[in-house]
Amino acid sequence: MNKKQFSAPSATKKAKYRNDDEDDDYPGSFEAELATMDEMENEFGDMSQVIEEGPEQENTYSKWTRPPPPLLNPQKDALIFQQIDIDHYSGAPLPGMPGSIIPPVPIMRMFGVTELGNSVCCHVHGFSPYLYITAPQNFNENHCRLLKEALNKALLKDMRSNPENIQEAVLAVERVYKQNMYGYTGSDKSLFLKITVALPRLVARCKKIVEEETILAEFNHQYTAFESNIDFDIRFMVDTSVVGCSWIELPPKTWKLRQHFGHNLPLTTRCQLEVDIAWDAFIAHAPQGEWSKIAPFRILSFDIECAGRKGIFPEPNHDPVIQIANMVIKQGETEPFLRNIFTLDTCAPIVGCQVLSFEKEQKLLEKWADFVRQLDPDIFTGYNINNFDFPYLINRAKHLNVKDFYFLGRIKNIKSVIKTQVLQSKQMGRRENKSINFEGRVPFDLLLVLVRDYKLRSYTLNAVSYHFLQEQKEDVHHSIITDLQNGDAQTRRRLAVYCLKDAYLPLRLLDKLMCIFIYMEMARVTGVSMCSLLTRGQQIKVVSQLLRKTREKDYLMPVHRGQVSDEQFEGATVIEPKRGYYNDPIATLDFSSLYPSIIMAHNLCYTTLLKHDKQIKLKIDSDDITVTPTDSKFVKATLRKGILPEILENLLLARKAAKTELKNETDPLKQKVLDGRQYALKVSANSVYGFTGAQMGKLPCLDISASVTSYGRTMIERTKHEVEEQYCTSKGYKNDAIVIYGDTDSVMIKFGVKTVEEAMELGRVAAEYVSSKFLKPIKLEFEKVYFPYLLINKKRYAGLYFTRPDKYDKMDCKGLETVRRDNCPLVANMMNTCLQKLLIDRNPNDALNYAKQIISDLLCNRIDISQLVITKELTKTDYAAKQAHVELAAKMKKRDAGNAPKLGDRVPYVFTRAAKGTPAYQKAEDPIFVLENNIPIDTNYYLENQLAKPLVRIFEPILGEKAESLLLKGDHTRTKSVVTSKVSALSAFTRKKEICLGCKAVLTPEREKMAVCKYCEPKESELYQTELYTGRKLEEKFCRLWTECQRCQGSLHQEVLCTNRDCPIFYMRKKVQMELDTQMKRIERFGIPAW
Amino acid sequence: MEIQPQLTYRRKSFQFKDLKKFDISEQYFEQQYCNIYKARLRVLKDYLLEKAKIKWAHNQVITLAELSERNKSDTCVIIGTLYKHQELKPSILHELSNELQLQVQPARINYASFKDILYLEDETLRIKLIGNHINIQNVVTGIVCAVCGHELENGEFLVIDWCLPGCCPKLSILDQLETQGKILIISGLDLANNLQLLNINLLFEWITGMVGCEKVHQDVASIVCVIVAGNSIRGSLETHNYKKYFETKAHDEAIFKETANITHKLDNLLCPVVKCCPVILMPGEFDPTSHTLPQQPLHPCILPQCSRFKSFHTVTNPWVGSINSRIVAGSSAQPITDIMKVAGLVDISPLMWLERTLLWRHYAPTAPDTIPTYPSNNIDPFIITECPDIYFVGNMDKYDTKLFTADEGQTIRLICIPKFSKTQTDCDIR
Repeated sequence: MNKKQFSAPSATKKAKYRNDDEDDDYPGSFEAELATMDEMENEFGDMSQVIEEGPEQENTYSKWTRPPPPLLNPQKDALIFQQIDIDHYSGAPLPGMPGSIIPPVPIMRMFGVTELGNSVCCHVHGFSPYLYITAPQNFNENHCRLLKEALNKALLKDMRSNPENIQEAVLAVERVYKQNMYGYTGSDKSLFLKITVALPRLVARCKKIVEEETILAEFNHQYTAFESNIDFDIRFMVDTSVVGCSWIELPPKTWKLRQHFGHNLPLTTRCQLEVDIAWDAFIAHAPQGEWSKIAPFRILSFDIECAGRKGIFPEPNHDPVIQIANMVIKQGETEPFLRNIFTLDTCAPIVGCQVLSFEKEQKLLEKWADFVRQLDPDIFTGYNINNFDFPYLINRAKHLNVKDFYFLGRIKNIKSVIKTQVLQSKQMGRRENKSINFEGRVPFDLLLVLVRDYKLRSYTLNAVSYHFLQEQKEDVHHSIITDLQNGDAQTRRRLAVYCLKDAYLPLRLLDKLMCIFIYMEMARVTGVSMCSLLTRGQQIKVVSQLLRKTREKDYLMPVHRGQVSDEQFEGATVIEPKRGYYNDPIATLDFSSLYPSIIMAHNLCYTTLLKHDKQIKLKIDSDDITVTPTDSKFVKATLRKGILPEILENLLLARKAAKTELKNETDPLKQKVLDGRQYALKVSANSVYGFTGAQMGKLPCLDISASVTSYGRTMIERTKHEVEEQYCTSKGYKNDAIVIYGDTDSVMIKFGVKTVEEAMELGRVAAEYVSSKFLKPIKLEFEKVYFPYLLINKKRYAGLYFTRPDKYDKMDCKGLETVRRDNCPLVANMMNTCLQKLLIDRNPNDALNYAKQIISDLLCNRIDISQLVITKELTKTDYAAKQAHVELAAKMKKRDAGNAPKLGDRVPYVFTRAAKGTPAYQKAEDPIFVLENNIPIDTNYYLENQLAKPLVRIFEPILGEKAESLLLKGDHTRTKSVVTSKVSALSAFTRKKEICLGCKAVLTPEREKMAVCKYCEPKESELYQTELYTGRKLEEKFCRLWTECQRCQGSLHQEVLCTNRDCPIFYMRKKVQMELDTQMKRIERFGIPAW
Repeated sequence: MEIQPQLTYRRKSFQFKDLKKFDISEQYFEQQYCNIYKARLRVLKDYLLEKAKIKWAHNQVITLAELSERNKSDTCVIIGTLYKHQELKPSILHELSNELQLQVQPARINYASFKDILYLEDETLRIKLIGNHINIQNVVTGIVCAVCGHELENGEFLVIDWCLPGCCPKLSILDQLETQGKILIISGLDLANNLQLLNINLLFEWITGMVGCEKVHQDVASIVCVIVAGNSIRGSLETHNYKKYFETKAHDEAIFKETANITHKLDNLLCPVVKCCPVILMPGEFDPTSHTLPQQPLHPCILPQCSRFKSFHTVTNPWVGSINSRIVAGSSAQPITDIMKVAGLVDISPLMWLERTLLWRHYAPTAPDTIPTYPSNNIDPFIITECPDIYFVGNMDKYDTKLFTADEGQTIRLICIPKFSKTQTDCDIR
């Protein structure tokens, strides 16, 4: 399907991953990250499940099913597996297991795969949910019982209905000594009550009752709840030290295998092994050494095609699903071991792929669901499967009333249903995301992953595949899809091949981008399941890490009520840039992991935060206190070491270890794991700061976040000061060093030396010198030298990046129009070339000439239209402000409703010439329409609104004030050529007269059929050759373009159908065809050589 | 002049028929290239079916689509077009994206590498061919052939044996011709770069009988016609990498001027020849006519003087015609040079490739993949439908010839014509 609805890209710019220089982490992105954290975390509310009896497993093909598991004896054998998903359900207690014996009890479920590739579902019994509340004074053991009874009563009363027949809501009340983690209160622990309840959902109710009602009249105490907002699954993982995707070992004698050895509990899942164990009996292996391996998970990538009606986005209630292509790969292997395609109606065979054809759509869907169940994949992947493919299939199945389609998860009797998740964020507003439950399987939608982790111009599969794999993807227009389907077995085969390619691409991208490794390692590092990484915000990762630490240290995490406060704090600082083009080496010093190291150096933490009154009360010596630049107070590590610094230390140490290990590792698979891990650790360390600043988050603490940024600011200023003080002529250096620019965590210094080598030497020394002025572990590192360096503005610069004195590593551009999405490719390409000429060739003149040339080409219509196309997604039609692409979509609908863009489509457009004063949004036009009708492009608009600003920006530092006039006014802007439109208002009243190809004089009627007028006749041969020459060039282009498309589509005998508008060839192909026809007509006017 | 009036040599008679196989009356560029491949496969498949039935009587000929319905280990025969996947083939897509990097792709002498993959493709599917029986260096994209073998578990096809369409049968074996005569073929005059016109003048004077003794005159008189096989105006084109439009434009204009001068020169040079001897003028890759194969005859307005004579024939490239009942076919150079680029690594002489094209029954298999080609509709003009008696290729580096006898006894004279400008050689054939 090429017209999936793309969810709006994620709110923020995330530091792009894998620049290979691993310290490319700009804390500048933290603010952005902070904003994501402001997203309302959507809680999955109650776990409503649709339960119905699911179908039995069929066995259609032996190749589909997993290898049979070895026979294990729980008495003798251990069962070891890597879990991938953890959830819970309410069930009956199992005799012999800890915990409540009165049903219902919560039971945890861990799904995973053994090293041999057998799927496991492990039921974990006896773990109960709980919360903490503050205890009144003089609360003794006796009161515990009283409170328990009173609470129990209140809770049962609170339940209006009690379908599960809960008899005992509160299981226990215990007295515990703990400390509130928020704020330093000395070293004494205080009394808290731990209330254990029967079911997870009772936790929140219990909190409400305790805080709002009077339970024990004896105490006049305002109870405050702690840790009542923790997900039960996270709670379980924290308490059992299970991290995401870790290996679980069930030692012999501790577990029971269902349906074997007299353990006759029914099988409830489709896993091969279903076992029961007590929650305190299994071993959770920390993902280190041997246990960092990854089990052979089955990854199913699929893609569906629908036969849409003309002009309407496919709707599951009308448009059939015609094909589903599947590719299955085992984690760790390079090629899929299973390829098949389900087609509606016959389909000619495809080499290397199983074709399953069905006459009825119902049967197709039924069999596909059956295939999924037999295959038993651990991970679903594909492109936009979460928001398109899965919901479409499910809704379609519902519409057709397909039996047993919905049972796609691992639990036999639970249907997969679509839930709509609404995410609210400051930048993007409301956006909807669909989520579907597949108990035990992880839906790993590549689109969501890319939107989360990469900042790209466009997120279509075409664009993504070109960006990462440098390959264009064949794209079949949706109107053609229906035609192909309605053709014969051959045309459907054609479609099937295309569909298979779309299913294969996500697998290649997963492999190339190491997504699975990164997400697994992220799950391991942060301790949450893989699912929550994809569906939840950033917060849960930090919460999970915090909880693990607080549990260890007897702290309790308060429940924060999210409220928007207008309290703002100053962000990171920027030293005012001294703009210009520097033809000197500029050394760059960076603070490595600036924000984490500030937190560590100053012991900033919830647990060390000192309120003003507490200082006097606890009589703390001011020597033991750090006062931050924002006037917050924190106790020093000598009094108490904070848990945030500890978490960060562990993360950074682990990262260092992972990097060392990575260097010594030779196995490429393990290398990928380690590389994924070190990246995950880096991201995790950086997210801690954001967590403290997220005001809608679980536990914001402005004292910390504001202090961190203010420290950052002072440090940059201080560095500038120290450097300029030390490296000056008065201290014996040849030149005065000047800090020309400083951003969040780096400063750029011009030492005044002439060679890269000298600059590097000085940079290294300076980094060490300045580092010594700061508290450990804050460290200033010398990383690179820019030479030359073009400093345009704050966060906008470019330079040649040297890490070795002999050769540059790359050209580094920050904040320039090379990656922005809202302009046409011409801008990005031109900027890139100009910068290359400026920086690599060091030839400003050449760059200027090039820019002039492009401007002149633009004005004279010599720029290929694909370079001018701007693309925007049509998300809704009723924007408040008029938007070009929306207006165009409406216009196109009037013209041809069938091929007009629909909601969710991406609309490509160019700006065309219109009467003066026409607003820009009315000038947008479909590029194909423009080509076909020879409509003039509004080149001035492109020059003024697209090219001008970025160009002036990069040339101003070099040319100064006159840049603008040099670039935008000058001889090169004088010549313009405009084509005459075939559809303009005037063209209806004009008649085309043939003109002489030599002198452009109108030909007299008797010569109309000829090429030249009688005065030009002597020059006929020359004129003919001129025309011929133009024709030859076009012919060459034509041949090269079309053969390229043939190669790309992988077939010589079939017509090229591709309409991939992201591919530069698409428009060129069309254009050259039209131009050739025109040119051939001109040439023919000279007469066809006939003998 | 008047000295030896009695010695008049009459030139041998000349009957000429252009088969007009490659003429395109009006050019349209709406069609796609798949039509050429489809037509090629459709026509050549019939010959291959016959041959395959004889060669592998026990094995069934099937389509690729039927392959999956059969037992994989069963040997079978499939017929299709070869496609050679070559990473080094120049790709316009890469050039477009490389424009950003300003990397100039080095012009490649050949596109072959050891990573090349060979596919066989029929109307619907393609399959990867493996096995030692087909040497990937010996074949090029676009050849239609039959392969015998079986499919492997991973979807590849193991080739055990293979078969080509083979040489086209001769329509009629002519008995010894009553009229004996010579055809003179020259190529690559390259007037643009060949500044010393002495050689050409000498040649033309010799043809017209202005030089030499009586014997020479007698000899010369037996030349029934002269074929000029391409690149008369230009033998190469300097690739200019001007980024700037105005420079390019200026450069182009200079070229037009120059070309106009040269065509004029050519007109002048050829005119006396045309007066006394039939001339067949074939365009070459760099001559002023269409860029795509088949290149169309030069326009009369380019050579106004010669065009007035009936004895002046401008023809297509490639071209097939009959001269005194002999079928003469040939091309200026492109098909063979391109085959050599695609085949690449092995050292096989152009003459050898020329011979192979006969066995492939195709003048230019690599068109349209790597040779610019006109997108003909529903026909593949390059299929060899008539067995030539003389088959030449122009603009080669050196002269080479051989008499080739095909399986069915057809004899064909193969000739590689060298570039005149480089070697000052011409060939005359009896």
